Amino acid sequence: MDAAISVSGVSKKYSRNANAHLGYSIGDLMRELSGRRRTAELRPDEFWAVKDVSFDLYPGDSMALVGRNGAGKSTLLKMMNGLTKPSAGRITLRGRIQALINLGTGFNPNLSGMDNIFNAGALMGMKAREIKGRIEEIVEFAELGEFIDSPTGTYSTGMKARLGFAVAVNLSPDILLIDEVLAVGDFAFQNKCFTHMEQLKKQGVTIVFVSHSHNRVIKLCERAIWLHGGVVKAAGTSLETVQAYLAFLDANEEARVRNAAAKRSAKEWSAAAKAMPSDLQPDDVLDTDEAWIKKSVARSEGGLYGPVVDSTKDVDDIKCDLVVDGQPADTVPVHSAVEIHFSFRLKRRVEGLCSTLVFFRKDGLRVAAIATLRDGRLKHIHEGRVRCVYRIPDFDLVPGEYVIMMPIAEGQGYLWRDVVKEFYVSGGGDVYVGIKDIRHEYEIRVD
Amino acid sequence: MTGEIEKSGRPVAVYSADSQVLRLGEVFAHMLRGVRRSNYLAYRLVRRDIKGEYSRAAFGMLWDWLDPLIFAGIFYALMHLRVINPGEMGMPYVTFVTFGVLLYATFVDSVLMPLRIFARSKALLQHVNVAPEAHLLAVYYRILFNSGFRVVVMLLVAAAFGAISPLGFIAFVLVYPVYILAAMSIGVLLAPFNAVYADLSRLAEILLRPLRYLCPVMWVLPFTPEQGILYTLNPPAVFIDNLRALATLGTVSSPVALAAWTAGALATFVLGWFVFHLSVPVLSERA
Repeated sequence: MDAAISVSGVSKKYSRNANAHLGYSIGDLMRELSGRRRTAELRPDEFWAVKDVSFDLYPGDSMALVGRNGAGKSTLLKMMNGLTKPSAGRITLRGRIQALINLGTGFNPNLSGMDNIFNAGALMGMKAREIKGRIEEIVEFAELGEFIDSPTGTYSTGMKARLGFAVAVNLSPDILLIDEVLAVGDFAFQNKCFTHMEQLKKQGVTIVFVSHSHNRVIKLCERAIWLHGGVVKAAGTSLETVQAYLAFLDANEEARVRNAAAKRSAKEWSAAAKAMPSDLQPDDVLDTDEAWIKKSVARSEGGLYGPVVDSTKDVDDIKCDLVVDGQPADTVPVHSAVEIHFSFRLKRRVEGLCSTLVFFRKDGLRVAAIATLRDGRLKHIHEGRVRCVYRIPDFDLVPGEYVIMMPIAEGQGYLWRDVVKEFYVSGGGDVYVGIKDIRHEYEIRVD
Repeated sequence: MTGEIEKSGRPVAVYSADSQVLRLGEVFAHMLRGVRRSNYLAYRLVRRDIKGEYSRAAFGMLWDWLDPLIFAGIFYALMHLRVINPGEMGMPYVTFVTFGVLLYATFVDSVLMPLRIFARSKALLQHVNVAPEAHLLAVYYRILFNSGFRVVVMLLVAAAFGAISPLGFIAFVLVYPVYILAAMSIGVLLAPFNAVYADLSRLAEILLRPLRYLCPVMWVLPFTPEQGILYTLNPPAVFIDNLRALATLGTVSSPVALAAWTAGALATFVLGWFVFHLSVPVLSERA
C-alpha cells in the first residue's frame, strides 16, 4: 500500500531578517524561473527552520508534531500543505487534503456566518452545489444557531473557529492537517471536534496534528515526532515521544531555575555588599533572599499574586527556603517530601499574628494555601525572630513553575505581603493533568 | 511544486525543492486546471470583497464612478471655457472625454490590481493552498465588475450625445475583456517582483499619472509626426483611441497597431501568468 503522506529528507531555511535580505527572495525566484536548484547551503543570516525530516504515514495513521514554539512544526505543516516550498527533500501526499491551519482565513467580518460558509467552502475546494448539499450539517455542527446570519465580525474567536472547523471537517478529506486551531473553542466544542476526528481516523483519514496539549496528542495520535530547532529529536509512539519531550522540558526548566537562582545570588550579594555602609559588619548586610524579595516587589506590582505590602516598619529580614532531602532546593520533584523553612523578624509585639504561605502557579492561578491561623500557635508574639517549619510529606502539585506569596498579618491587617520563593516542580517526563496529582491505586473488574 | 497528478482516481500532490520550469507541459496543464477549478472560488472572493467593501456605504459603487466623472466634467468645462483646445475629434467632446477617462481608469485598475496581488491576497497565500489562478481570476473578475458600470456610463453618454455605432458598441463590449487582459499583462508579469520590492507598485502609480496626459484621454493625439511615433509606442493610447472609435464610429483608427499591441500584450500576459504560477509557492511566505 502506498503511503498517504511521504516526507523524505525535507528541509526548509529562512532568513532571520528577510527584509534585510530581499536579494535572497529575488535569487530564489530567479532560480525557480531559470530551472536551477536552490542553494542547499545557508546564506548569511539564514537558519534551518526544518532540517532533514523524514516519515511515512499510511491511511488511518495519526501523528502529532510536538515541540516548543519555533521548533519547525508549523513550517513542516505548511510545506505539507503546499503553502511554502521545501528548500530540500520531497513531500508526496495521496488523497484529498484538508488543512486546518488558520480557521478564520477568508472570512470577511462584515459578512454573515452563512455567507462565510460559502467563502470558506470555496477556499477548501468545494463547489456551490456541494456546499448547499452540506449546509445543514455545517450549521448544525457549528452550533451557532440564530447567529449564523449575523456578521462574523461580531463573533468571538471561538465561534469563528467553530464555523471554520465545521466547514472543514464536513468535506470528507483523506488527509487532515491540523495546526493548534482548536485551542480557542470551548471545552464542549473541542470535545465534539476530537470525537469527530476519532471517527475520521476510523474511516481511514490520515491525521497530522500540531498541538501543545500533550493529553490531546496522546489521545488522538498513535505516533509523534518531537521537533527541536527544526531537527527530529525523537520519534515513536505519542506517549514515548511526549514523555521524552517533557523530560527535556523538565531538565531545561530545572537548569533555568538553578541558573536564575545562582545569578540572583551572585549579583545581589555583590550589589548589597557594594551598598553596605563601611561601619556595618558583613552579618548586617541584607541576605540574598531579602534582596531578591525586594526585587520581587517590582514583579508583583502588576497584581498577579494579589496586593504587595513591602513596608519593613513592623517586619523585616524575611527568609524562605524549600528543603528537599535536607538540602535547600529550587526544584522539587513531584511527590517528594518537602520542608518549608521560613523566618522573619518582628519589630514589635503583635496581637493575633498570622502568617500564610499561598502557592500560586507562575501564571497567577492560586493553587493552595497553608495558614498558621488554624491553631492559633503564632498569636500574642513579642518582638524578635520568628521561625517556622512546615513539613509536607507528599508534595503533589503537578510539574510547572510556582511562587510562594507570604502574607504576615496582625488580625485582618497585613504587616507585610510579598513573594518569598519561586520554584519549579519537576515531573521526570510523566504526563500530568490539572494542578494536583492525586496519588491513587485502581483495579478493574469486568463482569 | 504542486505536482498534482491523477493516479488511480486519487489526487497526488508532490512538493519538492526542484524547479518546475523545465516541465513546461505539466506546468501549463496545472495552469489550465487551476483556471477551470478556481472559477467558483474567484467568484466568491470577488463577491466577498465587494459585499464587504460596500456593506457600510450608502452609495456603494457611486463613489467609484464619481472620481473619473468629476475629472471628465472638469475637462468638459475647461474645453467650454476655451482654456484647452482638445483638437478635432469627430465626436462630441463629452463622449470623447468620458470614454477616455473611463477607459484609462480601467487601464490603471488592470495594471495596479494584479501588481499588488501578493499584498492583497497575503492572508490567503499564507494559510490556504488554492491554485494561483484563483487569485488572478479574482482580480480579473473584480476589474470586469468595476468595468461593467463604466461601460453602462459610456453607453448612456454615447447614446445621449448621438455618437454611437450600435454594432460597433457591441463589438466594443466583446473586445473589452480582452483589453483588460492585455492591460493586466504588465501587472501580472511584475507582481512577483513587486512582492519582494514594493517600490515597483509605487513607481507604477507615479508613472501612470502623467501617462494619462500622453494618452488621448482629454485631447486628441498625435499632434506632430514625432508625437505620432510616441503614440504608436504607447499601448494604452492605441487601445483607448481604437476602442473609443469602435464604440462611437464603428471603426478602428489604427488596426495594425491595435492588433500588434493586443498580440504582444496577450503573449506577455501568458508569460506573466506562467511566472506568477511558479512564483506563488516561492514567495507566499514573504507576501
